[in-house]
Amino acid sequence: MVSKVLTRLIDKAILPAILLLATRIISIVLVSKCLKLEFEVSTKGFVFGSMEDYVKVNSYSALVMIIILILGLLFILIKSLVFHESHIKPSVTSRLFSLKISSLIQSSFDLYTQGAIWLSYSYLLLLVNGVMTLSGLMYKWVFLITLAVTVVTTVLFIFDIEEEIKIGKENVEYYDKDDRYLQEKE
Amino acid sequence: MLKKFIKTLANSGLFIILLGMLIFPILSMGIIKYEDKSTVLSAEDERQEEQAEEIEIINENIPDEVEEAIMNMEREYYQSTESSGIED
Repeated sequence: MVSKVLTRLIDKAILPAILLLATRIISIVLVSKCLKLEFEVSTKGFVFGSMEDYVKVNSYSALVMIIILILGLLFILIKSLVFHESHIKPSVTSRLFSLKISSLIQSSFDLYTQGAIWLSYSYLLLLVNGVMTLSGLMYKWVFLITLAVTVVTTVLFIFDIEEEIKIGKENVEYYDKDDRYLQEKE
Repeated sequence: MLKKFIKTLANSGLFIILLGMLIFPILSMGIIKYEDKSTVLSAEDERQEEQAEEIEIINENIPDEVEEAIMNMEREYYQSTESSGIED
């Protein structure tokens, strides 16, 4: 009754959502401690005393979020480019089974739902960072890193989808016209 | 028909949940704020009490020539104002 794709997307969005939120909060505290910047915790959130402190903490905290995003995207990209069920090499399969990490081999449905979620976070972060940079609330280089990460990962995902389409075209069922074997059976 | 409507409604609900899940961590970007505590005077600032600056004038310190010149200037001023008042 309910869409299988939507249910899977929600399921796959839980982990990155919690991870990114936790990263943001922890990174704000850690960056402030490292740079020895004072802040107050109120109902508004973390309140800093000056604009310079705010921009500094905001930029470095966003950078930590981007690093977590890169790690997540990299993990999915490796799974889709190397351990993809549709085009994994037999030698790699046997090695993964011998190491008892065969769970890394995943189907296109699993990989693309995860990829769509992580890429969505990447694009949303790019949008927010862009607005913050234009408003002067973030360093420009943080936005440029986000842009580079988003573009590179999108292109790599497109390569994998192209590979998948190619395999799909090659695997069209082909029936041999030679029926000698069937005649022998009869 | 009703089954199709319920299906659409359920899927719309799931889609809204998904959007919420995607936006939730991004909203955390606004968890930090700043408050500029430095006091800046502006046109909106006003004095609560009138501060009357009293200037002490000690007549003894004023030289005679200066006092005479001031008196002449005052006399000329009053004469000019009186004459202009008569003309009006």
